[in-house]
Amino acid sequence: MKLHRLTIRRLPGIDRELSVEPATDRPTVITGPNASGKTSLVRALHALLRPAGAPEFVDLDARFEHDGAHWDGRALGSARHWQRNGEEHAPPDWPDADQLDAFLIRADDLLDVGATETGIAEALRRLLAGGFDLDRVRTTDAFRLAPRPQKLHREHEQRLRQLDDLERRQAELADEVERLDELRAELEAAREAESRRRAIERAVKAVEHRQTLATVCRRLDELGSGFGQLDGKEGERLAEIEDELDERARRERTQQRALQDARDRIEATGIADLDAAEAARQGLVDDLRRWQALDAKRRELEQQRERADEHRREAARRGGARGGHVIPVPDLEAVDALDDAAARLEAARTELDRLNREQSAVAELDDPGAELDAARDAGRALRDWLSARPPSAIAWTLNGIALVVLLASGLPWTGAVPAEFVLPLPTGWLALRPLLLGAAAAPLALLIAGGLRARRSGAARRRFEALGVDGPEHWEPVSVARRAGEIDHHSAELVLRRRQWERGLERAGEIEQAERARGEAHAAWQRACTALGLDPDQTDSSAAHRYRLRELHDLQRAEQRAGDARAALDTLAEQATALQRRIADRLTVLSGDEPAPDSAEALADRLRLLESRINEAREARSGIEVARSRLQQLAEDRDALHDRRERLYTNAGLGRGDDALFLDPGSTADDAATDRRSLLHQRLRLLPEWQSLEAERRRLGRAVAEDEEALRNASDLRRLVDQNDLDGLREQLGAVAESAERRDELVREIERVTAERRRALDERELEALNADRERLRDQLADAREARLFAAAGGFLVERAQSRHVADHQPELLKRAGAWFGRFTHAGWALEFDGKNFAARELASGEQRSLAQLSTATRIQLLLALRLAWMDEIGRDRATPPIVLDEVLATSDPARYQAVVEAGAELVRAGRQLIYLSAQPADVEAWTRFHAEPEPRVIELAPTRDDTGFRFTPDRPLPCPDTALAPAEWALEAGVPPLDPFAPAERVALFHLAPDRLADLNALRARRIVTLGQFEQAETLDALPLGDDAADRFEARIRAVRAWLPLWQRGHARPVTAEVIHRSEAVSEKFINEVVDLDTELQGHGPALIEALREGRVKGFRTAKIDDLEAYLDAAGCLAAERPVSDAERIHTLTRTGPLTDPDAERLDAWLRAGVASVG
Amino acid sequence: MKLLAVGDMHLGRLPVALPEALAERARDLGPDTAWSRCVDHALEHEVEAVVLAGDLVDRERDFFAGFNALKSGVERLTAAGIRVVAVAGNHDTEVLPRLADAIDGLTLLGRGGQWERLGLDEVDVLGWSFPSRHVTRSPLDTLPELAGDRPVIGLLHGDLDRADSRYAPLDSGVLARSGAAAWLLGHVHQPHPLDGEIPIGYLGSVSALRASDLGRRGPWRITLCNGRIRAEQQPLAPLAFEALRLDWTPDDEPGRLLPRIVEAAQRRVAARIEAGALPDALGLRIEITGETDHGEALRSQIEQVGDEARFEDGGCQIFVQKVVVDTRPPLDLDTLARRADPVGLIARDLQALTGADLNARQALIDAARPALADAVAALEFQPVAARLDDDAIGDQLARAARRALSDLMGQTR
Repeated sequence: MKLHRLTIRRLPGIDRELSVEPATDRPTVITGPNASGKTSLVRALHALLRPAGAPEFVDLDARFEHDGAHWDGRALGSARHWQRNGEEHAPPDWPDADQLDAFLIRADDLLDVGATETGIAEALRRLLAGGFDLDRVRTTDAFRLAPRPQKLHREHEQRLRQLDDLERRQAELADEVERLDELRAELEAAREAESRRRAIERAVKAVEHRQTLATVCRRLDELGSGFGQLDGKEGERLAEIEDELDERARRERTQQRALQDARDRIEATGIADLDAAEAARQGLVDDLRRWQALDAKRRELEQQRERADEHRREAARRGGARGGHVIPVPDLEAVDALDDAAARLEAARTELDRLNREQSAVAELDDPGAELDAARDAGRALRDWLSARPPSAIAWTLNGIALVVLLASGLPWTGAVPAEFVLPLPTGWLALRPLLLGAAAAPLALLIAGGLRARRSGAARRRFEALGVDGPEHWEPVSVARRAGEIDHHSAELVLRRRQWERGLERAGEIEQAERARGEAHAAWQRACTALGLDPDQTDSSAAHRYRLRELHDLQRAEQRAGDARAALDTLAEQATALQRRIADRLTVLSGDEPAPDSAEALADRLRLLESRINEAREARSGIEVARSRLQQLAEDRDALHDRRERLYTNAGLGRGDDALFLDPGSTADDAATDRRSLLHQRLRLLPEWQSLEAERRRLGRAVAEDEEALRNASDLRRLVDQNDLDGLREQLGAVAESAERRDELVREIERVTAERRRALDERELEALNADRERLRDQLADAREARLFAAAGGFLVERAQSRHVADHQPELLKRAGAWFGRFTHAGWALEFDGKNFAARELASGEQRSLAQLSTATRIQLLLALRLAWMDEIGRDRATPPIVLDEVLATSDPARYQAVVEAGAELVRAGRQLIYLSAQPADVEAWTRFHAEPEPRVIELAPTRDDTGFRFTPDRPLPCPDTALAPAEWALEAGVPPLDPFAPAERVALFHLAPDRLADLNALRARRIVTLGQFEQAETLDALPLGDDAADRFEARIRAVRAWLPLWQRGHARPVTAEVIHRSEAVSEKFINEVVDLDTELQGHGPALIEALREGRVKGFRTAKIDDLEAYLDAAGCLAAERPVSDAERIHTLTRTGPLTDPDAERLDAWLRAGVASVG
Repeated sequence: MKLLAVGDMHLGRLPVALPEALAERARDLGPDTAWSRCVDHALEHEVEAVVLAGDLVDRERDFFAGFNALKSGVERLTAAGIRVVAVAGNHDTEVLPRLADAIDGLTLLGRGGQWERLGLDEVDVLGWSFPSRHVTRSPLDTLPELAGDRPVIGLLHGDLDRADSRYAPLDSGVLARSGAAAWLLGHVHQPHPLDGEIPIGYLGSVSALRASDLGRRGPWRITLCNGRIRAEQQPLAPLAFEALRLDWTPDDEPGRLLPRIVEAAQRRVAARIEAGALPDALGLRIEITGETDHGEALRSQIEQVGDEARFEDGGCQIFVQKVVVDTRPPLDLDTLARRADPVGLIARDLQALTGADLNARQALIDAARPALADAVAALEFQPVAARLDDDAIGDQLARAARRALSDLMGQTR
C-alpha cells in the first residue's frame, strides 16, 4: 500500500501539526534537522498500523492507496478507524508488529545481525537443510577425514631403515660366514707358526739361562762359604742382647744406691730395736688414754663443784641471807604439808564462790507446776474437740434430705406411713421399694455418727472452757487447731521453767556441803602453819611465801653437794700424779734424757713424733729387703744374657775359638767382643747378595733343566743352544713371528662370526623386525582405507548438500543475493552456510563473515536481506512503505549510488520508498544518482548545509586495445599472475581467455575481471556478453575449477612468513631465523622442515619442528605426492565439459603460463 | 610322474593379522610351518621333485632366518633323493643363488635371467629367474622355442597381464601359445584354479600372510596323466582367512550378531573339514550387508564380537579378524531416490553406482576421484599405495552412500 498523506495532530514529542505527502511513483527524501519530526513519522505509522504498544495518546490520520482504492486510517487515542473508499472497513492485513520493523529501517538496525536477520536466517536454514542435519553426518567418525598418519608413517619408514641396516649387516655376516673355512685354515697355520715361535723363544731363553747361571756361580765363589747359617737377623738380635745387658747394669747400680739409702734412714731414726720401740709406744698410748680420762673426770667434778657453789649462793640469796647471816633451814615435809593445806583451802573457797553465784541467778523463780497442768489439759481438750469434730451444716442437710426421700419412697410399702406422705411413684417402682429402704440406711447411719461426734466435741469444748484458758477465735477446726498449737508451745516453755526451779532446790544442798569443806581445809592450814612455827593468822596462805621456804631447803642441799665434789677432786689428783710418774719412766727408755711431759696433750705430741720415727725405720728396713732381692735377680739376668750372646756368635760361626782368626794379638776380651761384632756385621752386609745369587743359581739351574726338556724334540734348536748361537735363533724367530701374531686375531674373528651367526639364527631379528613392519603397513593400509571411505562419504554428502542447495535455494536468498550484488556492483556475493550469513569478495575469492566486513558492506548485506525479506512477508499481505532512516550515512559513493539505484528499482517494482535524512548531501546524492524522475524532496524544516557533498564515483577500469598481443594487453590491464593456491574466484578472466580480449574489455567495463565476479554477474543476469560467449567462458571456468586442484597435487603451497607466523609453532625467539631460512629455501616446505631437523636453526626444538610440520602439512605446504602429468590434467579438463582436446591443451598451457608468471 | 609345486613362501615373514591370543603362535602359523609341511608331504608322497616358483624368502638378503629354514628343508629333500628346482623371484634374487651354490641337489633355473631347461624323468622344467629386484621387460620376450617330444612345465615368477609392471610383466596369451604343458607362476598370492586344459596361473602363497590372503592356500601336486598335466592344491597352510558375508534383514535383531557369526563360522569350518582343508587357525573377515535399521547398533558391537567370537573346532582356532557393517535402511531405493531432499540425492547416487547406467556410474566416479585421490595422495600412504581404479572408487562410494543413507534416515527416527 502506498502512503498518500500522513497528518499528525497529536503525538508525544510533536508539538505542532505535521503533514507529509510522499510520492508514490518515485522515492521521497524527507529532510530536516534533528527533532524536526522525521523519526516521528515512523512512529506515527507504527502507531496507526499496529496500535499495540502505541504511545498514550495520538491523533493522526493517513491515506493509503491500494489496487485503486483509497484507504483512510484514523488513530485517535487508542481507537483506530479505517475506511475504504469512504466507507467503514476492517483494517488492512498489515504484517505483524515484529515484521513491520523490516519496513522501517534505521541505520542502527543494520550495524549487526538483529532479530529480523535471525528470523531470516532461521527461515533459510529450514529451507536449505531439507529437514536433515548434514553436518552431523559429515562429522561422524566414519566420514571425518582422519589426520594423515604421519607418526605411523615415520615408524614404518624407521622399520624399513632398520630392516635395510639389518639386512646389510646380515649380508656382510653371510659373506663372513662363507669365509669361515678360509679363516679356520689360516688359523691352523697361525697356530703352527705360534708353536714354532714359542720353541725358538724357549731356545733363546735357554741360551740366556746358561749364560746367566755361569755369571752367578762365579760371584758365589768370590763370596766364599759360611753364609748358609745366617738368616740376616743376627745383627738385630745381638744389638738387642747388648741393650738388655746395659739395662741390667744400670738397674744394679740403682738398687745398690737404694740399699745404702735405706740403711742411712734407719740410722737416722735412732731406733736400734724396732720391736721394743713399738712395744713401748703401745704402753704409752694406753697411759695417754688413762691420763685423758682422769683429766675429763677432773673437769667434770670441777664443774659440779662450781655449779653446787653457785646453787648454794643463789639459795642463800633467795633464802634471805644477808651479810653472811644463815637462816635456819625448815623441814622439807612440813613445807610440803603446808603447800597441800594451802591448795585445798583455795579450792574449797573457789567451789563455794561458784555455787553461790549460780544460786543467786535463780533465786527469784516460782514453781510453774499449776500453770503447766492447766495448759496441758487445755491442749488435750482442744485435740479431743478436733478429733470428734461434728459434721458440717451442709452434710447434715444432704443426709437429712436423702433420708427423708428414701423413707418417703419406701415406707408406704410397709403401710406405716400415711398416704399423703407417700410419693406418687409409677407402679413399676413398687418392686424397687425394698431396695430404696435399704439405701436409706446409709444417710441414717451418717446422721447417727454425726450426732455422736457432736456430743463428744461438745464435751471437749466444755472441758476446755472450764480451765479458764483463752479459747480459739472460732470453734471451727482451723481456729481450734491453731490455738491447740499455741497452747502446746506455751506448755513447752512451762516445762523448761519447772526444770530450772527444781535445780535451784538441789544447789542449796551443795552450798552447805562446800562450806563444810572450806572449814576443814582452813583447819588443816592452821595445823601446817603451826608445825612450821608460823602464826596462821599472820601467815599468808599464798604461793610466794611457801616458795621461799622451799628455797631455804634447796640451799641446804647445795651446800652438801659442793662438799662432795671437792672430796672427789682430791682423790682424782692423787691418781694423776701416779700416772705421770709411770709415763716418765717409759719415755726415759725411748727418748733418753728428755723431760717428761706435764700434760696429756704434751704426751700426745710426744707420741706422734715417736710413731713417725718408728714408721720411718720400718719403711727403711723394708727398702733394704727389696733392694737385696732385686740385686739378686739382676745378677741372674746378666748371666743369662751373656749365655744368649755367646750362643748367637756360636750360631753365626764365630765361636770363642775362632776369635783368633779375627783378633789382633794382645787385644782384650772386650776388644774381642767388639771385633766379633764387626765381623758379624760384615758378613751380614754381604748376606743379601749371597742369598740372591744363591736363589738365582737354583732358579737358573731349574730353568736350564726345563729348557733341555722342552727342546728335547727340537734337535736343531738344541744344537744352536749348545752353541750359544743367539743370532741364529733370533733369525729363525723373525721368520715365524708375523704368521703367529695373526692367531689371536683369527680366533677372535672366527668366534665373532660364529656368535653373530648363531645369534642371527636364534634371535631371528630380521623376522621380528619384518613382522613389525608388516603390522605397521597393515595399520597404514587400514588408515588409507578409512580415509578413502571418509573421503567418499564426505564427497557424497557435500555433493548432496550443494546440489540440494542449488536446486532449492530459496527465493528469499536469491532475492537477497541479487540485491547485494546490485548494491556492490557484483563485487560481492551473499553466502549462507545454514547458520550464518557471509559475503564473498569476488575479486579475491575470500569469504568474510559479517564481523569481518566493513560497516558499509555489512549495511548493504543486511539491507539486501531486509528487502528480500519484505517481499517474503508481504507476499499476501498489505505492506507499508519502505522507510530508510539515514541508513546510507556510512556508505562510500559507489555503493551509495548502488543503493539509490536499488531504491529506484524498488520503486519500479511497485514499492514506495521514503528516505529520511538530516544531511542535505543526501538530497543531492539522491537527486544525482537517481534516474528520472527525480525523487520528491520534503523539507520538514530548514537544515544547515555544513557537510557538503563530495562524492567522486570510481574511475572506470582501463580497457586496453584488443589489437595488442595478449601479454601486452595483460600488462596494460594490470592482470595479476595466477595464484594456483588462491580460491578459484580470484583467478583473473584473462588467464582463461587471452584469446577473447574484446569480451574481456566488455566485462571490464562492468568491472567484471575475475572468475568470481563473472559467476556473480551471471547469477544476476548482468553479463554484457552474448550467450555463446558466456557459455564459452562458463565452460572454461568449470575447467579451471577442475584444473586447480590437479595442479596443486605435487606442488607444495609456498611457505611464507605469514604461514610461519600463523602456525604458532615458532616463537619470537626463532621467528627471524626460521623466516630467513625459509626465504633462503624459496618457501619450499619439505626443504624447510628437513633443514630445521638438520639443526640449521640452533636450539629450535624437535617438538616445535613436528608442530610446524603438522601445520604446513595441513596447510598443503608439504605436498609430496607425485605431480599430475600434463596428459592427465588435460584428460581431466576434457571430462569436465564440452572442451575439445585442443581446447583443453590450450587452456592448460594458458593456465600454466599464468602460474609461471607468478615468478 | 609327481611333482610338488610351491608358490610364494616368503620364509622369514610372520603373519601379523592375528588376535592377541594367537600372536605367540605366529611362527607356528607362518611360512616356516607351511614349508616344513610341504617337505613332509613330498617325502610322504615320494614326489620326483619339488619345484619352487620364486619368493622363497621374504627378504632378499635374509641369509639366516628364512635361509636356514629353506636350507634344512632342501637338505631333507635332497637326502631323500628328491630334486629341488627353483626360480628366483623378486624377493630372493640374492639369497637363492647363494643357497643353490651352498646346497647340492638344489637347482636354480634361469640364473641371471637366462631361460634354462632341466630334464626330469618324464617332463622338462623350463625356468627363468629374476636377475635383479625389478625387471620391466617381459622374460617371455626371450622365451626359447619349446620343441621336442617331452612335455615342458614352465616355472616362472612375474606379473601376469600387467604390462607396466616392474616385476617381470607376463602376457597370458604368450604363455598359452608357448607350447608348454603348464605354466606354474609365482608373485601374486591369490592362487588361480589351474584347472584348464593347460594349467596356467599363480600357485599362490603357500600360507596366508595377510588377512587379505583369502581362501585356501597350499602347494600343488602336479601329475602327468595321459600326456596331460593335472594340478591339485594341497591345503597344508597352517593359517587361512575367509570372507564371510552375513545378510541382515529388517527382522533380524542386532543382539543376534554374535550367534549368527558363530553359526556361519561353524558352517564354514564344517565345509573345510569335509574338504580336508582345515588349517590350524582360521581368520574370518565378516561383512554384514542387507537392509536394516540396526546398522549403528551392529557397528557398536564390532569390538565386542572381535573379543568373543573366538573358538576352537576340530583343532582349528577360529577368530574374527575384521567386521565391516555395510547395511542400508530397509527402504526401497527407488522410493528414496524420488525424494527431493539430500536423502533422495544420495539414493540416486547409490543407484548410479550399483545400477546398469554405466555412464552415470563413471561420471560419479570421475567426479569423486579427485577427492578420494587427494585423501590418500599423501606421502604417508606411499607404502600401501594401490591403484585407485574405478571399481575401488565405486566400491568406496557405494559403501559410503549406504552408510550416509543409514545415518540420515536415522535422523528421521
